[in-house]
Amino acid sequence: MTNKGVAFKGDLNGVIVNLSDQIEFDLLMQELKNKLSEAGNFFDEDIINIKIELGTRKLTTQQKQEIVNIFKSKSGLSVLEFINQDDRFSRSQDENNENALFLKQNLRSGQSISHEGNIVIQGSVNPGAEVIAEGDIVIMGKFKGIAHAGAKGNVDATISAFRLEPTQLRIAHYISRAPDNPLSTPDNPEIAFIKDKHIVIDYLKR
Amino acid sequence: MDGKSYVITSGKGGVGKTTTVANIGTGLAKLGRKVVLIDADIGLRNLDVVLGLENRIVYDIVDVVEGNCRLEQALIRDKRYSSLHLLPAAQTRDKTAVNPNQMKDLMAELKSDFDYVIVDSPAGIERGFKNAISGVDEAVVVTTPEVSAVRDADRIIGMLEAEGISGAQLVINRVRIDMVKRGDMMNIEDMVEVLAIDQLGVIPEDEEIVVSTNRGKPAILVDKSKAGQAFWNVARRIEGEEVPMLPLESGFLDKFKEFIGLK
Repeated sequence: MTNKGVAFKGDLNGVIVNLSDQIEFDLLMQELKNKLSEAGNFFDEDIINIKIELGTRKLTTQQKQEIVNIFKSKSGLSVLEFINQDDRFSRSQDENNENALFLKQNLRSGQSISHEGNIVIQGSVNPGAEVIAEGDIVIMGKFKGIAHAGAKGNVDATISAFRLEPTQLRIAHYISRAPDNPLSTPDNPEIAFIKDKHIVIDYLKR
Repeated sequence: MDGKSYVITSGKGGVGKTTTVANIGTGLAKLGRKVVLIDADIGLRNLDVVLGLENRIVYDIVDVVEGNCRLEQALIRDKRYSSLHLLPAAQTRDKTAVNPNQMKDLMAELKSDFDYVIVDSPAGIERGFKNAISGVDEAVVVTTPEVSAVRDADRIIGMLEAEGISGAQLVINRVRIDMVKRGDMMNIEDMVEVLAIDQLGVIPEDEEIVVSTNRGKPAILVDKSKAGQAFWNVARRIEGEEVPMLPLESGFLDKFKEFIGLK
């Protein structure tokens, strides 16, 4: 009997059950049932909230019901929510640009990268370089160049960087430039997005 | 209005073309003229940085030529003088993105709107240089007191004449008066004699240039800058004023000694 598909993790609010998105649903359900019966009385004490992590798997209503029923058959367990990994990490992603471009290099003056989806750069972007994405832009390094996120008009696009010291930021048709007397930038990751028709920068939380 | 057009060029790199353009442009604007500066150094643009305007660039000269925007949209107004404008170069392209005929049309359009159109030429004698001198009426050749720079200046003057731009004027940059006096630096008269063109100005070596370049504020706006003062004189000469060359003596005491015959 394999047990690669189902993993239990605890956190402060209850138990997280990770269901692998690499295994066929029926096999996964069988494995889940086995695991629960192996656990025996372990869950019987209190009422425990269960969160189901699905990875990138999309469930039908029927399949969700099946999972809920499996947990219901054990007393004290209630399924609280289903979590899709995609939803947690990309709030501005729409379905047709799910592909991200990943670059592992520094972008120097005169270099330009453009992509139809999101762009992730593991490296720094120097002044005079530009990054143009139809989706979000994430810079794992210093950003000092020009960025254009949501280049085809997506106003929900964001630009984030470990150190955000841009020459210019553009999101959809909005544009903002660095102040002439540069402020000292904080030693924190920051994110730029549109709020009330202006590009604003905030600490990158979470 | 039909304005004057200048190209600032040198052949050799690093002699101070961009610094000269930024300072002369600012000086002419300060004198109340309507000025546009064109950065023809596509792919290695600097003029925007020296003027402190880098963060304002949205469209550039290639966008104008390719019809992505109107000319007025690409012109950046200076933050100090509203009559001074910059047409920035593209950084992500190269010299072949523009051809001499397109430059000619662009120059004609700008000359009808501005008193002065000043082109910052790239180093070299290839396509970028050919672009920079297209549609231009007059030239300023910048050199430093070094044999190599003077040699390149001579070559450039010849090429300008071949293109029908005669009467180029000379700016000698980064002159150290003390070294000239000791005979360790090329003599200004000798340079003018070799190059056989009119002298427009002599700019002393000045640490203030480094500071002003890094801050994006031309030295001509810094009162204590000797180079700034010299550039100011150059701007006034371009406007037609009779301004004597800065005295090459190092100070009043020398002059006084000379006067009473001690020297």
